[in-house]
Amino acid sequence: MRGKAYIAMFLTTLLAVIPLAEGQEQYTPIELSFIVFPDGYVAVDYYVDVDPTKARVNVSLFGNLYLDIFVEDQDGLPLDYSSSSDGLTVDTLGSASVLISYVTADLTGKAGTTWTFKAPTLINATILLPDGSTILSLNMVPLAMGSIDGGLLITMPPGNLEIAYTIGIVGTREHAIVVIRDAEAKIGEIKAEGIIVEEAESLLQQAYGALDSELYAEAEQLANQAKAAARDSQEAALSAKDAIDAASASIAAASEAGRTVGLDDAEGLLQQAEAGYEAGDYSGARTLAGEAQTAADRAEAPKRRGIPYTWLAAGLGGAAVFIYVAFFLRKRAPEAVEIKAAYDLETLFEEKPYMRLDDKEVIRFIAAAGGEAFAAEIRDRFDVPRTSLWRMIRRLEGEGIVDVETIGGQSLVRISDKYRLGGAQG
Amino acid sequence: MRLGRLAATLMVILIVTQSLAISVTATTLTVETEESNYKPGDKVEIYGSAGANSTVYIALIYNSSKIFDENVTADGEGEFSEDYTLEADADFGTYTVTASSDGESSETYFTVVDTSKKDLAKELLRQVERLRERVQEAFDELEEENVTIPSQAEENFTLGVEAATKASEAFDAGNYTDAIELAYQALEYLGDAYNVVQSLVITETEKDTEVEGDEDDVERAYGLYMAIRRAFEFIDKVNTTADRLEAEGYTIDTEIRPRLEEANTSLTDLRSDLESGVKTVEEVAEELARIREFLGETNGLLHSTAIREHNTMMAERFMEQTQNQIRGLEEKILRLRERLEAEKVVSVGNSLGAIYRKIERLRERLGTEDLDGLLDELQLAANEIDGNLTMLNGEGMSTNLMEMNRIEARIRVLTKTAERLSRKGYNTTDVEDQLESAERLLSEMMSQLTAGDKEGTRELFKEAKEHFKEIRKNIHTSWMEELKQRIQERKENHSNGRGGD
Repeated sequence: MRGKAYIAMFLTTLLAVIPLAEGQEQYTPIELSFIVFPDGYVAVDYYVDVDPTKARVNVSLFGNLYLDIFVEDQDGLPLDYSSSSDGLTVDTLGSASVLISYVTADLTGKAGTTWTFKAPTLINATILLPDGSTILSLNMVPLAMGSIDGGLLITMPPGNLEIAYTIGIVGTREHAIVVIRDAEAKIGEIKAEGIIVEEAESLLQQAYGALDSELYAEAEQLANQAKAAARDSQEAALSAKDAIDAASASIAAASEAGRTVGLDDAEGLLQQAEAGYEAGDYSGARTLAGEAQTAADRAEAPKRRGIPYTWLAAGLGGAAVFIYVAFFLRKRAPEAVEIKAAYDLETLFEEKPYMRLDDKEVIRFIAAAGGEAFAAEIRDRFDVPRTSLWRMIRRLEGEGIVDVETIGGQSLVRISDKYRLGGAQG
Repeated sequence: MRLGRLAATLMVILIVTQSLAISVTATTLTVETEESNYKPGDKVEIYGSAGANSTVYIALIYNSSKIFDENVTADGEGEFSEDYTLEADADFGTYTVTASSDGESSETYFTVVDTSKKDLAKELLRQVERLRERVQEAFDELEEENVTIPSQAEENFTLGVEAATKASEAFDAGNYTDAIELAYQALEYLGDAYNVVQSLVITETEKDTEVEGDEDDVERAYGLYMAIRRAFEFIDKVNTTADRLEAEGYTIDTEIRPRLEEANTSLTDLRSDLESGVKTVEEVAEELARIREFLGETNGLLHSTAIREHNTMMAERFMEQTQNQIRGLEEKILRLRERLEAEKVVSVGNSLGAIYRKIERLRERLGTEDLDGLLDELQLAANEIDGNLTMLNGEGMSTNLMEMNRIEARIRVLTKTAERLSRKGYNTTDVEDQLESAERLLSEMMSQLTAGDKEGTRELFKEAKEHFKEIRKNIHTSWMEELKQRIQERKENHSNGRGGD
């Protein structure tokens, strides 16, 4: 293989006898290739014939900063060199040909997702674009095109070459790993905010599977999808949270303004929205919160005269008065909660030794309130955010410690009858 | 009985109908070719149907001229076939095949195409399709974001698709030149459309998320993989250089190989760390910079030892060659003295002698003084030779002498290369033949120059130039193969988790 290359190099050098002899140049370009890396670096192989009667030859190179320079003669033996104004001064010392290999970052630029490769050439040049490249423009019609294992090989005529391209799915193992790591980080970050990202996690698992199966393009795609799904969840969660906050604010405003008619419905919807949020149904939560806000905005103050109430409205009004009285009485309960003997909390706490302290406090509070309390009461008493309280209630309900019932749009939390002293009743 | 008669009648009708059908089919002359496109040198398979056992006259016509004709006999079922092999230099274009038999005639067409352009057209069309998909994706993204697609982008997209469709049609018709031109146009239109919509897609996405920042992270991490890969390749090149120098008998500093091995191990570990996420991108970048510095020092060590030693040897050889060259020039000038001004012959002769002696003194200083300084002086001396030759006048003598001087030097260098290759067991017969031809040319040039045949010398140069152009074409394939193989090796090493072995 190397021998073949030598012979090719040998013949090529022989060919250039005439052009070099006739011209005044110290070198004649023979072959030129650019291998473009996905990060914009370009490996250049520049093969030139040089005047064999000279000790040193100046060769102009492409770019300004050259890395990993190797200069060899027609026999593959190294030649010394030093930098010159626009290239290298090579100690050719009678060599017939020189192969200069180097890497430069100066031949490409990037704007948005578009890369541009530029090089002024004197001879035909081959350019290998990175795997997954799509050409956006060529400033000249190429002489030949082909692909090598995913990379696009273009032969261009001499001139000021300009090729714009974009890299889509790269499809290499390294890139798949990088994209998966990136998706992992993003998903982890969003999860840490308490947002449920089930779909993203599922896609990420599929990406791992594709990576193991060496389906790198697929792995990359799946990881990108996983990241996008996580972002969507985050966006939806933020939107739902904003809607819940807006609904809460509307309910509070209505309450303060005494617009209590229809407010129960708003609160009920808000609780459902919060439950949906907790379950990761951000879209549903947002819709419910929106409805809650609308209901709160539409709530009206009770009308005192002039308008005849129906018997149902009267009933609801009575219920409201009842609830108000109940609230009033309970709010007047002493701060130090006195646990009534009606519930066997000791047994309950023994049965559930892992119960959190704040959960126990709430149970004590409910027990002291006669075994049942509205969620709003608990929130007022313990000053906990609506979502945290709802999470707690769901937890206690799941454990079978409390039962939850909706009355007039309000959640009534009741300690399970099985903990009532004297056994469960009716 | 009645039934039997009816059956017999039906059978007769059936037979008559069938024979009529056969007769109709058999007398309808058709002619076709196996393919619609051929390239020069291809075998064209012509076939068709005529009357059973009939004689069919086939003719191939191009540009109103008959280039082939033949009488063939159809078989018992009326089928006939004939092959024609196109000339290697057959003209590109549409060819007509005519078939005549029993007063009927039929014809078909095929195209001889320039297939050298076929691959380019095919690849360009593939690129156009990729770009069309990308633009379509960008349009879809914008629609999802409820962003209006700029009319300019839509217009360019439409024009691009139209050009692409025409390009495909031209390709299918075997008109690859048009296909290339149209595909190129399509690429331009679609590229413009892409640039417009892509900038909008990015703007829209950035509004809500930090996509750009995330993409930077991915690029940074992937860039590190690329940088590690290049570092592996650098190690390979230093190793290869050391191997070649060693094979030439130079001593490689004992520190170099272990240092390269150490760098190789560090890079392998670093790559694993990057892959597993054990180290952050910043940590990997820092470690990589350290390894690169270490590698730079190692390469520097090779340069300051074996490469410097090799350079000194080359300088010594070059000085000797230059002195031989001066002697050769003196001889040539002497042979040409009749055609030169005597005064200048003496003057140039003296100057060349002075340069010879200067080089002799440089040779004495070699090994005791800084090589860089000596090479500066050597370069000046080499340039002085050309400077003196330009002083020679008469019938372009100086130019011709300088040219011949270079050819001579080149032949000398390449003869050594051929010997080296031959020693390594490679077949250098062709190379040696070329060298002999070059030497013959050189000798003829000198004879013609001595005879004062300026035109003849020029003709020789031209002849040689054409000759060498042909060889250049032949070896271009080898170069492309070499390049492709190198790329393939890089890719294989890359997929094996190694920068390059």
